[in-house]
Amino acid sequence: MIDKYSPAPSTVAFSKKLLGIFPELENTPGFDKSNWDLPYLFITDFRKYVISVFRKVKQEVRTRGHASHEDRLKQVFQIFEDNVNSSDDAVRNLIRAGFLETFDLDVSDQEYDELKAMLGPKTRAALVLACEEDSK
Amino acid sequence: MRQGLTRHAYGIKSYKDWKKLEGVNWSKVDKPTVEHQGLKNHIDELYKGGSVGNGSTQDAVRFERATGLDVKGSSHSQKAGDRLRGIEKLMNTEKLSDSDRQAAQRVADDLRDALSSGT
Repeated sequence: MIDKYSPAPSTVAFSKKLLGIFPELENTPGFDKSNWDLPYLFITDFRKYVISVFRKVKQEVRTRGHASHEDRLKQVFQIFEDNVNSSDDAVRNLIRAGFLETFDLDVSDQEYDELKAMLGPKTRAALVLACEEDSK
Repeated sequence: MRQGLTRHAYGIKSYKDWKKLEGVNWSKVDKPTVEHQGLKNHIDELYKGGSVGNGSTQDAVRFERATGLDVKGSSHSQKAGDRLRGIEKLMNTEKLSDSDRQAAQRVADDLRDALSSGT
């Protein structure tokens, strides 16, 4: 019964790739490594990691004038920019329906706007469609 | 008419036309209030609100399967499947209150029903 709902292998591979590039996300509060084989659960945890890095960057800029984690954030957003219009439907859906659609759940309105401004143009357009379309 | 879709899908151009779509058994499970944090995370992700039907991922899946069209730029079937597996895992491993367990069961049944629609 449960096998018919198995995730697309390309989304599991994408999750493993993210886990490989950002091993520090395992230290994010609430992160559950056992979710990597359920990509839509994993990507929600990954979003929490992205938000935690974003908040760390803001804190560092406030206190030290520069942020050591800023490159990590840029790296994340570049990966999403490269894959948000992927020819692989399953990966494209994962980014749009998993990462972007509920992007506003864990952030304030101000944080949402700041994060949105940091996204690449393709990811930003997908965010508007996935997350803002119905509130217009 | 797109092959394999319900006869009611003809003329539906976007998810915004969902109310014109006849013959779909839309969700009767509105967003439940739950206490368990892990279950609440699943529910919040599934009930973003807006869009189609009662705003749940389940109804997005029903629309997509009836029409062959995406909702807000993406398909939601794998999201529904992954969340179903996550809720089932949670029900098998976590201690839930009676009301949380009943809510989890209702949402899981609704997800299964949506995923079997249009097949």
